[in-house]
Formats: sequence, C-alpha cells, structure tokens
Amino acid sequence: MKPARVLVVDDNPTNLKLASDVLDCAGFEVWKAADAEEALAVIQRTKPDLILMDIALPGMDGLTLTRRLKADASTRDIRIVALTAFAMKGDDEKAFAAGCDGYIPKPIDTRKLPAQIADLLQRSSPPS
Amino acid sequence: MSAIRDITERKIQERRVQEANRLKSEFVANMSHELRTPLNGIIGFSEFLIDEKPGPLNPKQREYLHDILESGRHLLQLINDVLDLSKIEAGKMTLSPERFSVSEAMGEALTVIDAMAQEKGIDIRTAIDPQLGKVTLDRAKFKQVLYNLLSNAVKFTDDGGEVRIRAARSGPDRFQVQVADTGIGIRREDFSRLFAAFEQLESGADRRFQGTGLGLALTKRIVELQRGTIAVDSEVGKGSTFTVELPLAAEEVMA
Repeated sequence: MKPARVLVVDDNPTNLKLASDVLDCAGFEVWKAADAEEALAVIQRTKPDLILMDIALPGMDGLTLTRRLKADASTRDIRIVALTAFAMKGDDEKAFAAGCDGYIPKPIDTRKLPAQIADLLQRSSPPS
Repeated sequence: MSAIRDITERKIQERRVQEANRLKSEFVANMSHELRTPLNGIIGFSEFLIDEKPGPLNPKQREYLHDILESGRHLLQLINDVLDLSKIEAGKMTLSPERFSVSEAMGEALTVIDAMAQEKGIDIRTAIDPQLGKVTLDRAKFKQVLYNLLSNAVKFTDDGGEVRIRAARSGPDRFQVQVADTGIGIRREDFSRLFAAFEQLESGADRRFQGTGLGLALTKRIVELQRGTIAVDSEVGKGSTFTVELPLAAEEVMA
C-alpha cells in the first residue's frame, strides 16, 4: 500500500520540522509549506490525502485556506486537520465551522501524532 | 464639594489600578504564549530523540536527554502555573462545571501519579465513599487540585512511605477530599507561608525538592474560586494531611 500523503503547514520552522519529521519517521509521505501560498503550490503539484494546518499563518490564515479548499470540488475531499494554538474552547468550533475534519491542540504530542493522523485518515471521507 | 472630589479621585485611582492590572495580565498571557512556542520545540525534539525514532542512543545520551526533557517540562509547568495565577488574579479564570464521578477523576489523576509513586516504592491507598457519587464542578480544575496535592504528597514522602486519599460527603451540599502522607511534615509556624506564591519552605542551597513553589498557591486559589476551602494539618517527621472541602455543585464562572 502506498503511504498516505500528508502536507504540514506551519510558519514556525521548528514546529514545521518537528511535525514533519515525526510523521516522516512514522512512514507517511510528508510535504511541507510555511504559508498558505506555499501550501496551494504543493497542492497543485501533488494532491495530499491530509493537511495538518496551523491556524495562525501570516497572510492568508489557515481557516481561510480551509474554506477555500473545501469550496473547490477538486480539493474538497482532502482531509484537513487544524493545529489550534491554545487548547481553548471555541477554537475547535471555529475550525469545524471553516470545514476542518478534525483538530489537534498544540503542542503536538510526538508520541501520539502518527496515530492521531492515521485515525483521521481512516474515518470515512467527508460528505462532498 | 471636597468629599465629591475625593470620591471622584478615588474612582480615577481605582480605574488606573484596574487598568494596570489588566495590562499586567495581558503581558503575562502574551509572554507565556511566546515562551511556550520555543519550549515546545525543546520538549518535542527531546521526546522524539529519547524514543530513539531517528536512531539508537548510548546510555549517557539518553541520560542527558532525560535531563533536558525534565528541565523543559519543569519550565513548562512553571509557565503554565504563572499564567493560571495571573488569570485568577485578573478575574479571568473561567469555570465550566460538568457532572462527573469523583472516583473516575481520581483514577485519572492517579494514572500520572502512580508512576512517580512506584519509583519511590510509595503505597497509595484510596477510599472513596460510594455514597459520594457524582459532583458538578470544573473537572479539569478539580483534577489539577488533586494532581497538585498528590504529587506534593509523593514528592515529600520518603521511599517506602504511604499516601492515603479519602473522599466523602461532609455536609448536605459539600464534600471533602483528604490527602495524607507519611512525609517530612511541616512546622506549625510555616502553615501560613505554605500557600503563598513562590515559597518552598526549604529554600536556598539546602532545598532538596524540585518544584515551582506555585503549586499550593494555585491550588488554594482554584479551590476558593469554586467556593471551597483548603486546610493543612501536619507534624514534622510524621507527615501532612491536606483537606479540601468543595461544594457538590459549583456555579459557572465566566471571564
């Protein structure tokens, strides 16, 4: 079976590297982007199965990008998981309202992240 | 006329103090967020390395990584405690009560503590009155209180000691949780300092115990926010007993 393709979007280089390397080590095919524009460029080249998306991005924020991808028939089925900055009430609701399929509160738990992503990938595709 | 002027001036003064306090809390909140981001990098990469995901480690490397991880977690705890304290002081700590079983919450707090206790060979005994049943409190904050009391009990008890937990109703609408240890104990004259921020009784060079010195200050404020009380009884060399009394149902507190 081909490994699932995951695109990690985070403007903090350390967080981006950590999440990417953890997922890479767990056997995912990992792509990286530091902002929404880079993410869109990656998505055009290779359609990921899942995007791990930081909410607070410079320029176009993660939720706007999510709404855009979910409004487009060609990218609607990409699973989007929000990385929420504070484990705060309301952040998860905002993420779901924008069309995210799940959320993971920051900081990521390196020991749990691969299983969390695998779990989100296994859930049935969002209705399109 | 002058009385009116005094009142006006006092009001202006009060407003200034409130504003300064608000700015302080905002600063602390922003600061702790800024501190947490790089710290999460330190903790995350250390965890990744210590799990030997990128490759095998030799024993010294594992030991030093363990030290980095412990220091990182300690610093994170300190930042979280400072943020919580400042939130409470600014009246921004919210409470979201939900119905839950005390024994379940206790079990969850104990899963974290059990590992620490096992390492020191400390026996933990729990006695929860089955009549107690469910309570309506902020579950996360209740667990934070339990966790703080239990980790203190384990921390200040020598190897092979004992920690006893009791929970039961103490009135028609209140209940008590008691955590008793066979640890080093606290002098009576130190009881009042115990709940002050940044005080660990053995301070300075002879300080044997790692801690933020914020745990009990925070615990007391969280308990009081839920209209509860906390009390201590102790004898040096024999052990300490902390008693928390809380209402069976707390009111919601919005920021």
